[in-house]
Amino acid sequence: MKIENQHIEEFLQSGLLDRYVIGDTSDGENIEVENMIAQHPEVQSAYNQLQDELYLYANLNAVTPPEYIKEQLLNKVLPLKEDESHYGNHENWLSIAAAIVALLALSGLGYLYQQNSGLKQEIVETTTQFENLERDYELNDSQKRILELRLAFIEAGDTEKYLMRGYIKDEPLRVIAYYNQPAGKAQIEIAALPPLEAGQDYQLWADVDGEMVSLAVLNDLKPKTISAEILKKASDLNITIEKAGGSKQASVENLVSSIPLNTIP
Amino acid sequence: MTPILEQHIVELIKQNDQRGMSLLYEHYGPALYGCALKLTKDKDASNDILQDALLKIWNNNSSYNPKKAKFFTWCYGITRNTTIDYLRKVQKKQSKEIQIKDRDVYPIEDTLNQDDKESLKRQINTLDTKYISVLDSVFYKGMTHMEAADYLDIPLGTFKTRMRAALSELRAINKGITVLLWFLMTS
Repeated sequence: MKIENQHIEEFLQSGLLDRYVIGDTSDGENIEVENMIAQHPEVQSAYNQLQDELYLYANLNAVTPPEYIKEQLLNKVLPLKEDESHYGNHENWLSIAAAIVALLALSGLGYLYQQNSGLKQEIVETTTQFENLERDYELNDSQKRILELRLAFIEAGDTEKYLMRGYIKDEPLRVIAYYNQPAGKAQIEIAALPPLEAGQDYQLWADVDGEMVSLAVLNDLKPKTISAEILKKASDLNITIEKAGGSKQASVENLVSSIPLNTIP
Repeated sequence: MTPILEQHIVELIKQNDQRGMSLLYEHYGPALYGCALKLTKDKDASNDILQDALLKIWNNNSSYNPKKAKFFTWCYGITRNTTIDYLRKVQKKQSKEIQIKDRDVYPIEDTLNQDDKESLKRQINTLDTKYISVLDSVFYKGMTHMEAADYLDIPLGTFKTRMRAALSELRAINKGITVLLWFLMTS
């Protein structure tokens, strides 16, 4: 495992991932990097972070291009207009004149119809664009509010923070529990969860008067809300390895992390 | 950019919807144009490169795989490679061997005016110049850490320390921008 960790560290230090993120690697190097990303969550995480940093740095160096470029591009991606129809010859001038008159009348009507359709289409497109922007704004706004609420909860003066640490085959396990007793709220953030064998999951337990009460099954990195009512009565938090989906009773012999709570008066 | 807006742009482009190009240009155009300008230091060339790159993105959208990279990363790679191709052509034409190692950027005449330079400086003036040089060497010039340390004439250890500090500064600026946006949105 140490050799593997050293291999990952050497890979991250080599600069290959930095070159991959800007598209400067050869096909062979791409395969190597993509294998490393697929096999090692640390590399995946470093890759995601590098992508965010590239986006940020590129935007710090952003320069507004001339407006004509946009116009030219939009003209280039416009669908091609259909060819106009051609009309054949008529036998005599009366029929030609009649055809021209009819054609002019039709063209006039056609022009008005086309103008009307074009305007309607523009209204539909503008409305759709507006609705899309409105939808994006609402989604962004709600995401921002959720993040603000999470941040406010985590940073509140009376929120207690418990960092649970452990090692599974030399890989670190990091789970942070936040508990705000006055507000009656508790949640966990999962920073690192080493992979387990198939058919196994981590499970978080609260020790309430010597009895282990299940709080959550930890099988992904998403934040989770846990019962503040149970934490209020608990003396410590424990993480065990259980069968996939969690167990009804804790396998104490598989305990991987434990931390005492200072909630008991 | 939010993943939702990014996904929206990708979907519009896949449907050959002109609005996709418009959104792509509005949201990514300046950062991609900045990349071309940074490498060529030539406004006319950068205008052509941006057009070429955005059309490549439009025409080759089926080869984009969201599982492999974020959309901006993919667009950046295409733009940077279009710029490198341009620089190679110019270099070949001029037969000037100002090559850094055997794979990199060839400095050519600086046609940016003073206003452009000032504008660039204002945007990144929150970063220390020594951090800008390490970030440029990695994100724009595509050097390995070893090559970059050699190019900047500093020990590899110093380069790595500066790189870590530069990325940390970058994250701090990002937080500052987020706070500023939040302040502007709520005021």
